[in-house]
Amino acid sequence: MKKPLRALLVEDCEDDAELLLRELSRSGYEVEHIRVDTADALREALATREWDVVLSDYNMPEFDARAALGVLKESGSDLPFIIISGAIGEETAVGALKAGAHDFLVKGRLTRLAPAVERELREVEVRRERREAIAQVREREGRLSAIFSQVAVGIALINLDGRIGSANQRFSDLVGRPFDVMRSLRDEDMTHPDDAAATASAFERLAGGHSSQIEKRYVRPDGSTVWVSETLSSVSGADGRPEHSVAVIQDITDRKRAEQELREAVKARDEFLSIASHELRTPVTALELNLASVMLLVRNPGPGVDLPEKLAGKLVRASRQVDRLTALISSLLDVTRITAGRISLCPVELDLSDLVRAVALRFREMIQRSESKLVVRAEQPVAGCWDAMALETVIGNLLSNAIKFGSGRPIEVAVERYDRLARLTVIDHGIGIAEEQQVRIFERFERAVSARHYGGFGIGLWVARHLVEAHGGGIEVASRPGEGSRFTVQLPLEDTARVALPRASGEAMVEEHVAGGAIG
Amino acid sequence: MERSGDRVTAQAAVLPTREVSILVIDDDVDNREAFDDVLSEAGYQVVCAHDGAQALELLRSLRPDLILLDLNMPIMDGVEFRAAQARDPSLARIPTVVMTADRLTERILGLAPAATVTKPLKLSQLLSIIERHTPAI
Repeated sequence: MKKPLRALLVEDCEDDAELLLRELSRSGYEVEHIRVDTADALREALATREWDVVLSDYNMPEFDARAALGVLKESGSDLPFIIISGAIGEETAVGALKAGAHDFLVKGRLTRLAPAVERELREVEVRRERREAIAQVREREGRLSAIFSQVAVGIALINLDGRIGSANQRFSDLVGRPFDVMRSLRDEDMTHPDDAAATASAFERLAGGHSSQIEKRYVRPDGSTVWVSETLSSVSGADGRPEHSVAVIQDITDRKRAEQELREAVKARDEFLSIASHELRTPVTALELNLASVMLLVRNPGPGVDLPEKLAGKLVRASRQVDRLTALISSLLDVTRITAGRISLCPVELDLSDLVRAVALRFREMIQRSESKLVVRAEQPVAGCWDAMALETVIGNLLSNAIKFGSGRPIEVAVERYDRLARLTVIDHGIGIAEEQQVRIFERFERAVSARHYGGFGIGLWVARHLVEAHGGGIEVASRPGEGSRFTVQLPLEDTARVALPRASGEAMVEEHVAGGAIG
Repeated sequence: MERSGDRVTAQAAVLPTREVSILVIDDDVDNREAFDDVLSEAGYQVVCAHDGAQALELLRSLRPDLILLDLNMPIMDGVEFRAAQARDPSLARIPTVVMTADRLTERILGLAPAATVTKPLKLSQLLSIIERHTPAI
């Protein structure tokens, strides 16, 4: 069984070509060939057909082996090129090999031809395999590098000396430094000082062969910090020794912020619960004492005592404590409703002046006991469509604050029309509110003074703000410490419970459900 | 220890046939009224102050047999009042019962009260504490 061989002969002499073919055939090749003896013919032959080998004479009248080699290179072909020549000098032969010929044979000694061809065919195969392998590696590298640069996590290779060897764009974005800046740094250099110890011990564990994951902050050159989860692992070379570490970082800033907010919310809630239970105990204490003293009196009225009248006095006091408890409990319910986003307004036609006078009446006794005076200026009717219960709460919360913080000095409440708004003003001349507290007091559980000293849930203004805003209105304060405070509530006069004004705060948890009435 | 202190106070108070007097310091007007009511009913002479500062003012001319002190008050709270009391030996001698609506803490025990009561309190409990720390008439 002969081996097929496609041989391109560059030879001017027909007889010499015949010798070559005969030698190859004798060595077991089934040769298919073309003979050319000009550059153009060679070019055409290379372009139009596939070949296994080029066998070229050294000297021809119009062509020579070096020129033929040039044509071959120019075509980009990797075909074995074997020169077969008459006697030439060693120097010439070496020159031809240097120029890229694969072998050099002498015409009189063609026994070497077949083994040379065979070897060169093998070589071609090896070269092809290598090219393919390289192409494969390159392709894989390209894919990996595309992943490396496009993944949503930051990846950095860290050299054994701790310096950053390479990093992807995401890593660079997260730590806020371009790669050439990072290159001179170590991971620790970019780490927040408070997380340096944790980072150092993670690298120590890594040196001991254990990969690890930590949560830490990087500080960017602009001073901002980013929270990341960092996974450190090491990559070993072929010899099994660690070559470098890989740091994979993921942005967890949002999660950390949410955790922090949650912690603060839980703390605020716990404080509130502790204040609430403290607040509830005060009227219960008075109530308990009132009832105990009723008991004493009934058991042992003593001589000449007007029992019914004395009892009535004590029971009035007891009943006042029940009112206090009721008010506390309903404000707890306000908090629950607002927090759960369930402010349900039932707007009805009503006169704000009327309402203010009614609430003021309810506070008469509390005002007397505080030794202050209340001046109500609400003669003109100011009618609108509002939720009566909600506005009673607003007026009540503002009034009880004015009494509590009014230092016993006169309190003024006024209702008036102002443009297309109803305006309610509550003024006291008490301890006042520092400027930096004036925004905070409208937040939940916030207060300008300590709970220990003044009591109260610290929610009155927060509740008032939400109820007013649910009506599409607004509430604000003007105050000076030591001189008193002026709270102003503005409510739209039209049926505007519907038309929500832009919110003062970004609280998302509150939404209004208005009973009845079509929307807009 | 409080008991011996009581005796010293009792011996120092040499006024014959007088009522046992109690100074109630509480910022809550309802609580003051209730204490006044029930302690008067129980036969004590009661004087009330709405904060530590007013109490000190009253104590310039008054030597009660016992002080019933609320802790959380504006102006001068119970802790500050105890400190002021400790600076004046004649006031320091007056047995002082501390009341709080909070849980008992180290801070409160650190005030070295004659006794503590937590609000809400039972009248019987309060009366027995008062009796234990005041001279028998």
